[in-house]
Amino acid sequence: MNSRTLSLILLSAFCAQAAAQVTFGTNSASDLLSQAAEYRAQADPPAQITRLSLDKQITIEPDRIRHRVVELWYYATAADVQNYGTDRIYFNEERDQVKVTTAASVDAAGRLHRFEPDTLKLTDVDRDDTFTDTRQAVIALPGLGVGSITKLEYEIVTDRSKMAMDWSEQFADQAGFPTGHLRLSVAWPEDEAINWSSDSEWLDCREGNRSLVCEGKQIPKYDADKITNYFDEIGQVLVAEKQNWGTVVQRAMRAYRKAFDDTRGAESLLEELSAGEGDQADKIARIHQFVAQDIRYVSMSELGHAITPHSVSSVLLSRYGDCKDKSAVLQHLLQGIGVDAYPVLVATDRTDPRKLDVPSMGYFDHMVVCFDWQGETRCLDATDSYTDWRYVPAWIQGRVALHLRDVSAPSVIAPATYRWRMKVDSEFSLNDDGSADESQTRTYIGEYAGTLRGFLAGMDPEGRQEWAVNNYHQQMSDMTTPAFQFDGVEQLSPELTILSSAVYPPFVEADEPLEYLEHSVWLVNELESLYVSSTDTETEFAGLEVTTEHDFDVGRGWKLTTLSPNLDLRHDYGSMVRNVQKVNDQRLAVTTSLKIPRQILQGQEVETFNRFLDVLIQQSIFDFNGRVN
Amino acid sequence: MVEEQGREQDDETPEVPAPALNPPRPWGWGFLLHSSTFGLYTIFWIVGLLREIRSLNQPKVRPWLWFFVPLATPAQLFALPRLADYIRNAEVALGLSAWGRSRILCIVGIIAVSLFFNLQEIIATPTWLIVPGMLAWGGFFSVIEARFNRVRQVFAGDPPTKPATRNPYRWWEWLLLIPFAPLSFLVVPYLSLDSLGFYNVETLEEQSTYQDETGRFQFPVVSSGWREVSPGTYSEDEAELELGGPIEDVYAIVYRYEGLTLDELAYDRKTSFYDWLSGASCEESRRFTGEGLELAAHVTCEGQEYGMDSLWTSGIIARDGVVYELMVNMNVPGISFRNLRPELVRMTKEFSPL
Repeated sequence: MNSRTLSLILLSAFCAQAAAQVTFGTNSASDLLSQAAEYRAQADPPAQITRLSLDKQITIEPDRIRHRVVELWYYATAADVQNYGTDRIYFNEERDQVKVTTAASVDAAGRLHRFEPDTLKLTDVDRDDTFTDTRQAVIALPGLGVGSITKLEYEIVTDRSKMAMDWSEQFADQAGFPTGHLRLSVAWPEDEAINWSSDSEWLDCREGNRSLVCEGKQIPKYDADKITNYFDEIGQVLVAEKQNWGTVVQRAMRAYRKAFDDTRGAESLLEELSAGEGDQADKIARIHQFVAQDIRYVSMSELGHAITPHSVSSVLLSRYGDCKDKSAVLQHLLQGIGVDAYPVLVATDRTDPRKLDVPSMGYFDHMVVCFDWQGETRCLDATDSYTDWRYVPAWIQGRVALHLRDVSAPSVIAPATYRWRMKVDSEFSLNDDGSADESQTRTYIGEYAGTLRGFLAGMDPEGRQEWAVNNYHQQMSDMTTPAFQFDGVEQLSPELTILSSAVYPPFVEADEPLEYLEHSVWLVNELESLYVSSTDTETEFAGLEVTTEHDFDVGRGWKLTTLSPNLDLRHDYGSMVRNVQKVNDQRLAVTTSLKIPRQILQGQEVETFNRFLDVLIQQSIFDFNGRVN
Repeated sequence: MVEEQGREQDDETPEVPAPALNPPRPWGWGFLLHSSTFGLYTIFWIVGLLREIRSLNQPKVRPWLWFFVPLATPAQLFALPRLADYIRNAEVALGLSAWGRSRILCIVGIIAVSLFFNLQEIIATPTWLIVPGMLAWGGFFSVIEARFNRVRQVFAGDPPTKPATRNPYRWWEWLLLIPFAPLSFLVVPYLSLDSLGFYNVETLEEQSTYQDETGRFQFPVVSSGWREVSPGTYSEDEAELELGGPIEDVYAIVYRYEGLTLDELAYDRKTSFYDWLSGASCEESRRFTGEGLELAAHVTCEGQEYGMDSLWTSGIIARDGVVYELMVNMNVPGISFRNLRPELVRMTKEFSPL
């Protein structure tokens, strides 16, 4: 998604759209020529794509909400034309009506090009959002070239009676391009109460008599290299219907409970799933596996189901549903075996609950089911077909969540201390002729197993072998082609194991002293993938735990002499401990334990943290020598 | 008396051969040999002496058995009193005054010196003690020599029947004396200079932390006896700091390297130590120093050198692109080795930047 598209999503918001169709006005664009001439006369043209102005007026009326948007753009380069030349207006088909007043461009030579309504495309938005049923009107502005100025003016009228959720608007100040003039105005009727907040350093907001105006000029683009969580880090103006979190929870629960109006089929299914041997944990595992794998994910937010799930019965019958549908089934089945499960809304784009200071449903785009288990809160994602129920899927860890139980405020889904965990067991035996036999077992645990399972599940057995061989050749060595075996790909289990066995052709001279160097490639591979990008703000390091055990047997040909160092590298950021044990003159055991817990790094720490990773990578290499026996 | 006995023999028995005794030699010549040859001369000397004693009507004496007496302290406990008895008997038989209680002092002295040299095999002692030890050794055996010279003198006649040779030593004695005398009387005293504190610059306080004056490194000083010595004492004058240990053959050197990484130096030390020692076993460990990301490496190798336990241990730290190393060596007898080892390993392990 390009920056401009993202901006338009923000402008259009999550909730405020409707229209059975998009209509066009006269599209005279009569004032565009003069506006373009005025901009060109004012100053040197910008060197990059620039939003010359954006004016968004929101008028809240008792039965509808009007969004009037006027935006002017300048295209500085051919690349800008290619990348940003198509505008999109996002709307909700059920409740929004869109009227485009102006869609036109003026090229560098001053020629006016009007958009032809016949070329309008209406498409679905390819997103997995649960609580929106958004469509987009695609407007490919004609006549665009370097130096073009475009104008898009439209109005979206939303029928409030058809809104499934409360109304809210999130208005970001910065985007992936500079903005010359930005203005947001909101007006509301006397009998309406509105909450608003702003943490923008670029917009000056003033509340008037039943109105709010936020305005800013010469707003630079954000630095994409320094942004890790857009919604947490970009300044925003939030405007929403006045309510508290309790009201939000009640509204969401009211809609959600409709799923349980019809639960036919659940009883017999429950009997089937809870039959057989096993304790409560086994039953939970079977229920989770059924909902995650046997009910396929299909986005079903249309037709009044933006926040209201389909009934449990219909989902069981159709065997498909979106996250709220699957969550409802999962919750119902879990409650059937005595687990006090409850739904939890998740804002997958947000990690800082403090940013949600205006209560609204509009932040949330996902749902999971949580319950207390052995003193901890477990959250199961019914849409994740690959992660064992004992682990929270990686992609929602640390995300803002709203527990739909009692009166709660947003919190975060507790992140794991070590999100990425793996073990490597390796046995390496040198033969008299200098060849070697190697067997390796790589075990991926928890969230990592889930992520890898998702990756491997899409491959056939030959594809997995090919991937594993390529991976081995890239990481380990291309001197040999091992045979691989996979355990735990098909079924949801805490671990996924990749076993390999390989025979290396002679690579050391049998009558010469042995000098062996091992790069700890799997450990290094993990470390290298987790370097933190430079940023001025807080950055999350997800947590890494790797244990490797290497057993070497140099055989009868050599006798071990000097060995690699033991490591006891302990730091505030984490530790890497290595024990090098000479079992006898021929055998060596090297155990390495790497632990870098999840942590939040301040901007100025990133460089030091990455240097810490550098040192660990550098020290992860180990060697040993042997003399000819 | 000898003449009377001879006459009686002439009357009643066939002629008995005269004892094969060497002509008496001033004890001082023997003293030089005894005290300079680390007991080597004493071995041959005592076998020769017992041959002479056997010829004094002591047919049961087996001189070759005495070969081991100077080497084995337990044997001295039995052999030396017997030797004294042989001499006393000879003295009495010849009508000379018998060796009195001073013989006990001589025997005890020899055993004590012998014990001292034997203890050196298991406990380190200052080198300078070797000099008085060797002198005492030579002195005690010279007493025996002087005592037996009285017996020899009887048979040699007065004046001696054989003319005195101007050469005080036999050929093989020269072979021993020429190499050993300079070694004992020049090299050993020179080697003793360190133990006598000749190179000491400053004594370090026990249970303290040595901190470099320019703020570069530090390490713990555990026991007393550590002292900073003048440059070049233990290195080729390229070290930042040289320390003499609590006992001889224990020393520490701090080196500074530029253009060398910690990894390279640690690897080089490990392989070098391994090569220097026989029966070596090496260990290396690494850690972060303090709060930062600078590494410290610690290499320790143990084995044998010159027939004694030997330890090479090295603490290596990197700081601002410069590598510092505290290298400690100990090559001492077993008990001292075991006592000092933990301290030395701790020194290098806790070698850290300031």
